[in-house]
Order: sequence, then C-alpha cells, then structure tokens
Amino acid sequence: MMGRPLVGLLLLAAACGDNLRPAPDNSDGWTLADLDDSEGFSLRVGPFEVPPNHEVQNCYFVRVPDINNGQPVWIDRVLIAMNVGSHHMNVFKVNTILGLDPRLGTPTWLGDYPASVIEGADDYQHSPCWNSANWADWPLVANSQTALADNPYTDWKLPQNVAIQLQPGQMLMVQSHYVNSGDQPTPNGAHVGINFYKHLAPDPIELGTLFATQQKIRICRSNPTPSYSGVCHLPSAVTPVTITAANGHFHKRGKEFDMYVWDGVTTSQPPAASQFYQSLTWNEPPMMRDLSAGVPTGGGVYWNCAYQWAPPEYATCADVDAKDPEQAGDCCYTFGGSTDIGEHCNVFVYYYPRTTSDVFCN
Amino acid sequence: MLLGCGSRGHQVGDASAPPDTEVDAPIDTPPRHCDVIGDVSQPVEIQLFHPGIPPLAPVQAMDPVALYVPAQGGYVFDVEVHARNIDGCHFSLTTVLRDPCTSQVATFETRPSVMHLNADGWGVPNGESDEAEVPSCPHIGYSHNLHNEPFVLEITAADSTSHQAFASVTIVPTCPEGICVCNCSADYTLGTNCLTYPDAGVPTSCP
Repeated sequence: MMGRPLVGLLLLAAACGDNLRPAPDNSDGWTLADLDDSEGFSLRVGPFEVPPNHEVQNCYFVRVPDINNGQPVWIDRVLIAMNVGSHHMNVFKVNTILGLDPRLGTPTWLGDYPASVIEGADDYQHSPCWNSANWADWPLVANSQTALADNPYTDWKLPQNVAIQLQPGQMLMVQSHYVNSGDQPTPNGAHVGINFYKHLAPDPIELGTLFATQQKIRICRSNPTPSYSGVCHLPSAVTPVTITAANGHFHKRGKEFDMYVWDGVTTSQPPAASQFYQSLTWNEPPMMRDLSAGVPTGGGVYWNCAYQWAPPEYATCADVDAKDPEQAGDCCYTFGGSTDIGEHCNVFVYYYPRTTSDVFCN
Repeated sequence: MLLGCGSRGHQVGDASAPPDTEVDAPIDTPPRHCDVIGDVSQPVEIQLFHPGIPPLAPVQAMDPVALYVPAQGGYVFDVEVHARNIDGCHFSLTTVLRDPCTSQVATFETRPSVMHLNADGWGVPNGESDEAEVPSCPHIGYSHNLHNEPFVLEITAADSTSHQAFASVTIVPTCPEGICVCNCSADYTLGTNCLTYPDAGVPTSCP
C-alpha cells in the first residue's frame, strides 16, 4: 500500500513494528521544484524499498489536472529525476482496459494528485502491471531509463514550439520499474519525480510518439548471439516528419540497440548515414535528444537488437526454462519484463508533427 | 514477380514452390538442437506452411492466414518455413509483406530460425519463435486495411554461408472475432475505442 511519499511508509512502520522493512534512506541526490498551475504539474512516485535481488514494477494511474481552464494542456519540457536503480519509467495515456484497470488499484497520491496503484511488485507471471498487451493501444507520452548517481535527471526540452498535448481529466499511467541487483543496484530505495512544464506560446506543433516491441525474441544458451530487426511506419504519408528523441530498451543480454531512418522501401538494414540511435548498455541506455532525423514520406523507423546469452544473475536457468513457452530446456530468454528472466526489444521514438496519430508497432 | 491487382495464383521466385500436398511427417519434438540439412553445395530450397499441428497445409495463393494476438499485443500471423541444403544452426528469415497494388512495403522483419532435420529430409523450425512472423496490426499511417485484403508475402531464407532462397505468395490476413477488424483498419488511430467499432470496417481497394 502506498500513501503520500515517505509519510505513509513511516506511519505504517510505526504501526507494524518489525513486520515491515525499514523505510529507505531518502538520500535521493535529487530535488525537483513543485510546479504550480501556471508552470505545469508535478508527479511524485515513492519512495519505497526494493529488496535485494528483487524487482518492483508498479503501475500508477492519475488524471491530468485541469490547469488550463478546461483547455488542452501543452507540455514542452519534461524533467524527470529518479533514484539510482530505476530500470525504466514510462508514461502512457490510458485507453482500452484489458486487465490493467485503474479502478482496481489501491488509492494513493502522486505528489498532490489523487491516484491509484496496481502494485506489480515482482509478480511478472500474474500481475497485469507486467502484461504489456494492456498498453498496445495506449499512446506513449514520455519515458526515461537514466538514473545515474552523479546525474539522476533527464531534462527533456522539446524543440522550439513543439509540445505534447494532454487533455484535462485524461487518465495517465506511470509505470515505474526498479531493479535491485548487482548490475542495477537500488541502494536508496525507489523514488521518481516528474515535472511537466506548460507550453505558453500559441499554436504549438504537436509531438507524436512511437512505441514498438519486437515479437517472439529468443536468446538461448545453444544459440547465444541472435539479433532481431523490424520496422515501423510513421504517419508520414503526406507530410514528412522529424524524429527529435529516441531510446531503446532491452535487458541483461542486450548488447547493441540500433535505430535508423527507414525509407519505407528497403528490406534490409538502412545505410549507416541513416542511423540516429545506438545503445551499447542495457542498464543505463542513452536517450538521444535534440535529434533532427528527417523521415521521408512513407518512411519510418528500422531497428536491430543484438544479444549475447549469459546466465541469470539471481534467478536460475530453471526459472528461465519455466517461463519458456516452448519448454526447450535450453535456458532461453523470451519476451518478459523481469530483467533477470525475460528480454525485451522495445523502441521509443518521438517525432513531429504528430499528423494523424501516435504509433504502436509489434 | 508479384501479383497484378486482382489476380489470383501463387507466386514463386527462385526457390521451390510450396508443395501441392499436405505434409504428414511429424515434426520432431525438441530437445533443442540444429543440423546441417541436405547438401549445402546445392541451391537452398524452402517451403511455406500454415503453422499448427501436423499434417501441415502448404500456403497457397489467396489463402487466408489467421491474425492472432501475441504476447505484446496487436495482431500478427506466422508462417512455418521448411528448408533444405542449409546450415540450420545459422539460419535467418526475412519476411516482407507488400501491397500488391503498389508494391509498397507494409512491414518486414528479420529473425534467426534454428532448424533441425525432420524425418522427411527437410529442415523444420525448432519452435514458434523460429517461424516467420509478420507483425501486422495496428498499422498507423498505412493506407490499406491489413485484414481481408490480399498482400504479397515474401520470405528470404539465408544461412551464414550466403546460401539463400526466396519465395513469395499472395495471402489474405484474416481477423478473428473481436476488435481485430478495427485494429487492422486503414483509418485506425492509436487510442480509438475499438470496443464500439462496427464489425465490417470500410473496405479499401487498389486505386
């Protein structure tokens, strides 16, 4: 159960004595201003503890506050701060409810705003918070995977006069995934802050978002270096679009994540000159910002995810095998949210103008 | 060679055509392994089948192929590729879906495909993730429905020694019941409430 940050945990700890783990040391190393309505709005997640060799993924639901007299809220800067150990933090607009239902969440607060939370904890097998099919039609808003001790901030300023459009009252889902393992430790507990800064100039150009996920990836002990590639059209049939930011997401077997502008015609890897993103690290992948990658009409994005098999860190191959739908007994990592047991090849791309729609591809 | 608009009949490139008869040889049960299959000095041959429980049906021209919801959501379909004269330990599939009217690429992907020798002398995929997969819907910004309309499926199979084969056939991605029709329609935009979408959708056609 979550209460207002820290206070709730301390009250629970006092009430339940030794039955609860101590509240984490709130030595975040970051501070964010609390925005007033004229500036934007601020969301806060946690703090809460992540036990060693566990992962915690929670899904928080909160409505966009009406800070613009009932009119759309335009955002031109997203400032995110996260304690070390954050694996990812994604914000989606809630759409079709399959299993992940905000009405079934536990009441909580995200900063000053009432919210609910579905605590996925480390129950990747059963909790809907771990089931990505839920948000196949939930447009992406923003994400961050960077939480460094010496720089816990992702300060994403959109290009001149480009902004994210949010509707007052629209339900957002903030998904926070923390890992506390040897190669992604969470020494100070989980804590996330997000500031959405209001765009004040008239007639902004709307930002579009693309979220894509490669299907049926498989990294096996006996086939240890596979790579997978795919493409996704951007809604650029009439108007060329420009990619302004991107990041790729995979897990511990991930070795190289590349993205290219795709011309919509070629059926092989685009030339090197078309590349706009590369990540060589799974636990702190870069978010490329301030890009100006032009996408021609009819084009889109090409990506490639390359892997190197390695044994799990705190789980076992028996755990990995138990999750394998093919039951091959070959310690094969397949699609899944747990970083020690599953793998991902997920693409986050931000472009403008949005034209007709945000994008999901599989 | 690709289909002209409105034509029927399967199209085959420089690889062997999908067989005319069903295959009744059972696919080996794992353990996971791979083999060199056939004579790698000979041209690669491939066959395309609808995945499922043997006996497998070959993919024929204008066959409906069933879209389904994969783990990550959206809709995809699979094709099972059999091959011979290949190194099944280092084998990959590039799958392209093209608009038969414009030849525009609707989608494509490349994946490894580990193969082992089957009793019939062909290499078969070890599991579902080794089959050709076609991510189909939603398809934002694409001008045609991805359901109940013909598309040219092209598959290039290659091993690490540059042996490769190519096959193509026109198929018709087909939605099951539910929100698939909405999700696969040309006018779908992300965030559409597909639970209230009319069942039939709006047909699209070649210009």
